[in-house]
Amino acid sequence: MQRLTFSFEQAIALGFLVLGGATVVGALGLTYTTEFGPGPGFFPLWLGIGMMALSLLVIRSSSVPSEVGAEDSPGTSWGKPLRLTAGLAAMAALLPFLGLLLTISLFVAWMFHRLERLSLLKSILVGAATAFAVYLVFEVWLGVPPLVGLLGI
Amino acid sequence: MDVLSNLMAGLEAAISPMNLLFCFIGVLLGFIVGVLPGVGAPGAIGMMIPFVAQGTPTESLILMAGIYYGALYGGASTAVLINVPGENASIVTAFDGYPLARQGKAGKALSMAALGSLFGGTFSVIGLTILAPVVAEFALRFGPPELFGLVFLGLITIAWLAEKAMVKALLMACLGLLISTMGTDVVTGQARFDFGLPELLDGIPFVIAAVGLFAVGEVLYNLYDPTPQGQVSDRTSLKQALPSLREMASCIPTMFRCAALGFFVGTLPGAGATVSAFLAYGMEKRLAKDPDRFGQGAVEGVVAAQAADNGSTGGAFVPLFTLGIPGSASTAMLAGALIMFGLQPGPDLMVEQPRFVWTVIGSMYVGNIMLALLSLGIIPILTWLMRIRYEWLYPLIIVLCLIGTYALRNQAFDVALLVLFGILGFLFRKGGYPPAPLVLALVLGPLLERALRRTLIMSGGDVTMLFTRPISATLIIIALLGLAIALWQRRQQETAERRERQTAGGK
Repeated sequence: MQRLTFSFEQAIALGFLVLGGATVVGALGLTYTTEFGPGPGFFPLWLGIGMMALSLLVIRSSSVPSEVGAEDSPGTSWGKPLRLTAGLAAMAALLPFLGLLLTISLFVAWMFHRLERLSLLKSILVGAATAFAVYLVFEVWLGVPPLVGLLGI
Repeated sequence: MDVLSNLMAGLEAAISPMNLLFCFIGVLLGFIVGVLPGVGAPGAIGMMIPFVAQGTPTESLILMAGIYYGALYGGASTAVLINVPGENASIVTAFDGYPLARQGKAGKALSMAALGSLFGGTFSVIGLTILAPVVAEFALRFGPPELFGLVFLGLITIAWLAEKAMVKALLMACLGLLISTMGTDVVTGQARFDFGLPELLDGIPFVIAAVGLFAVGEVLYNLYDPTPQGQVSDRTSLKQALPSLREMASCIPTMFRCAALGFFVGTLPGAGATVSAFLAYGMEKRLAKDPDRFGQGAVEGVVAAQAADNGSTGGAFVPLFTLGIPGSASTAMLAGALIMFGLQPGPDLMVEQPRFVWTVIGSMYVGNIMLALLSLGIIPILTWLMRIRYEWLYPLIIVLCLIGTYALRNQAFDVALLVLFGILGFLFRKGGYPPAPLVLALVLGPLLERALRRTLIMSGGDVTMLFTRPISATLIIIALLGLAIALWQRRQQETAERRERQTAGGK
C-alpha cells in the first residue's frame, strides 16, 4: 500500500512541475517590467520557478517512503467517488441548459437512486423536495437570482 | 472616564427595546447567513440596505453590524459538523472542529467555538472602546513593505501548519498564489491567465476553492474510504456539550492571545477575519506543547480560530470609525450605509456623532452575548445532524455546496470550478498534500503581490527597502527564522526516526 501512496505523491508533484513550467512560459508572454516597476509577468515568473524547484524537491524526497501520504485502509473503493465525480461533471455541464432547480432535482434523485439504491419514486420525491427547499430559501427568501434553463424554469 | 461614561450611555441606548430588537434580528440573520456557504456577510448587508433605508441610522447600523459579526458565529457550525465553511474564516475552525465531530465531540467543539467567539468578540469591542485611536495610528504606519512583511509571515505559518509535509505545504501555497494571479493584474489591470474566459477576469473566489477542496473533496474521499464514518454519531445534550471549568480555564491564554492578534490584524485594511484566524492557528500550534494534536481534534485549535476571527470584527471598525477607511468588504458595505444616512465615516464621526457611535459599540457587547446564547442553545439541534446516516448527509452537503457556490456570483461556471476543486481536493488528500496552505495563499496572494510590487515601485526596484524599515524587517526576519527553525526541527526528527528504524531493523 505504501508503494501506491509513494507513486501518487510523485505523480502529483510531476503535475506541479509541468504546471510550474507552463506558468513560466505563460509569464514570459506577459510584461516583466513597466516604466513604473514590475509588470504583470514579474510575480508569476518567480512563482513558476519556485513551484518547479519545490516539485523537484518533493519528487526527490518521495524516493524515501513517506509516512505523510494517506494510506489506504482495506475497505477503499474507487466506484462511488468516480460515479459521483462523473455525476457532478454531468450536472455542471447540464446546469446552463436545464436551469438550477431542474438540475438540482435531477442530480439529487440520481444520487439517491444510483448511488444509494433508493427506489426511483422516493428518489424523485427527495429530488423535488430539495429543489423546492432551494427555491424557498435562496430564491424567495434570500433573493438569489435564479438560473433559468431552456425550459424556462 | 470619558470613554467609560460614553460607553455606559451607549449601552443604555443599546438596550432600549427597539435597538435590542434590531440587534437580535441582525445577529440572527448573520448567524443564518454564516451557516449557508456562499451567502457571505457583505452580500447579506447589501441585501438589507433597501429595507433599513427607511429606519434610523442607529437601528440600521446595529442591525447590519449584527449581521457582520453574527455570520462569524454561524459559519463555525457547518465547519464543525460537515466540514463546509459557512464563512471564509470558518475554514480554520474546521481544521480541528471537524475531526472533533468525527470523534463524536461535535457538541464540545461547538460550545468551545461559541465561547471562543464570545471572548474574541467581546475582547475586540473592548479594544475598539479603549484602543481605537492608538491602534489606528499604529496601523497607519503599515505601508506596502510592512504589509508585505505581515503577509509573508502569514504565508510562512503554512510551513508551521504542516510540519510533516513542509515542502508539499509550500508547493500547495505556490499553487494558491498562482491561482490568485488569475484574472486581472492587481496593479496594472491587465488580463492575466484568463484563457479568454470572461468568467475568469474577476479571478477565482476563495470560497469556491475552499468549499471544493474541503467539503466536496472530503465527501469524495469518504466515499472512497468509508471506514471512519462509524465514529460520527454524537448524542449530546446541552449539559454534556458545555465544557468543564477546567477546560475553559485551559483555553483562556489561547483566547487572550488569539483575540488580541485578531483585533490587531482586523485593523489592517485587506487583512480581516480569515487572515487573523490562519495566523492565530499557526501561532497556537507553534506554542503548543504537543503540536501534533492540531489538525486531529485539538479544542485549542477551534478556540484559536474563533477567538481570532471574532476578535478581528472590532478591529475592522477601528479604521472605519477613526479614519474612514473600510478594511474589508463587510465594513465597506457599512461605510456605504453610513454615507447613505448622511454620516461621513472618519475622525469627525466620533466627535460629531458620539451617541450614534457609542450606541453601535454598546450594541456589539449585547449582540455578542445574544450570539453566544443562541450558539449554545442550538447545539442539541445541530448535533442531531450528526446522527443522520452519512448516505443521507452527503447529498445534502453536496447540494449545499452547489447552491452556495452558485449564489456567490450567480454563475453556472462557478459550479464547474467547484467540481474541479472537489476532484483536486480528493487527489491532494490521497497524495498527502495539505489543502489549507493553498486556501491561505489564495487569500493572501493579491495582498502579497500588490505589497511587493508597490514596494519595488516605491524603491525604484530596490528590494533592500524591505529590510531597511524596522517593522517590515522584523516581520520578515521572524518569518525566515521561523522557517529555518521548523526545517531544522523536521530534519532532526527525520534523523531520529531513521536511527530508530535502523535500530529496530538491526534487532
